[in-house]
Amino acid sequence: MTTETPVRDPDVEQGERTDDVWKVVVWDDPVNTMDYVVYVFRKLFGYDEVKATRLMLEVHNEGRSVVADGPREKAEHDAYRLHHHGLWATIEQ
Amino acid sequence: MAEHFRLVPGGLEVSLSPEEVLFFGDLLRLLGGMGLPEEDPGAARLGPPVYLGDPDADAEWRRFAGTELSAARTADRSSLETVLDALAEAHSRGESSVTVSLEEANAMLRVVNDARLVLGARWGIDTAEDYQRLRRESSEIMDYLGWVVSDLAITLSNAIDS
Repeated sequence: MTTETPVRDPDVEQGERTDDVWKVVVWDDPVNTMDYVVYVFRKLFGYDEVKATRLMLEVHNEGRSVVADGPREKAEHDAYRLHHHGLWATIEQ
Repeated sequence: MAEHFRLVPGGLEVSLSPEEVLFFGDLLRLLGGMGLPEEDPGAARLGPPVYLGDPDADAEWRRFAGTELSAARTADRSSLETVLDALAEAHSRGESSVTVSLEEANAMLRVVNDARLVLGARWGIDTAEDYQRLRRESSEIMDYLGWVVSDLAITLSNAIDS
């Protein structure tokens, strides 16, 4: 056990702790088309075609993919936008 | 199949036949008259959970986001209704297309995709194999709507690129 006084990370003070990061997960479904999912990732998150396609394929092949992360409020907003576009998104830590 | 969507300065040129305008109108009525999520798989598909395994957090999220989401979908349907009215008017003048804004094009894309999701849920499509069990008419509708969604999505992707 160390006797050093813990140094407080300034980022922690500002609420940037790792456990404050929420992941936005998109789940595979058999109805949304691949072209549509790629377009939605590009439009909502500004990803280029390569990254959007990679994420879409991960959803398709693995059943789910983490497409964004951030504070809880942002993750909820991202999930809301994905639901508005008909994609099934959940958020988790 | 004739070209339906074409990027033009200031928006998207949409060309639909009179039959397609009527069919899209049917989709608007389908989406406007859905049941409760507990009894309508289509409605449930449009409102999936956000917090898995945490019903309290999910209920809280729905309280805030549910109404907003419903209003956004109503606005999308209203936007498409305006586009369909404009197309019907164009047809009466002997024309076949109208130019819509990219916002209207995106609303159209979401509505058509929602309709496909609702029909897919009601027809029990849970896996890719379930398509094989569809009646021929249902299968043709899913194929047609899938084609419209993909064609529109690809065209709008080109708007991001340009």
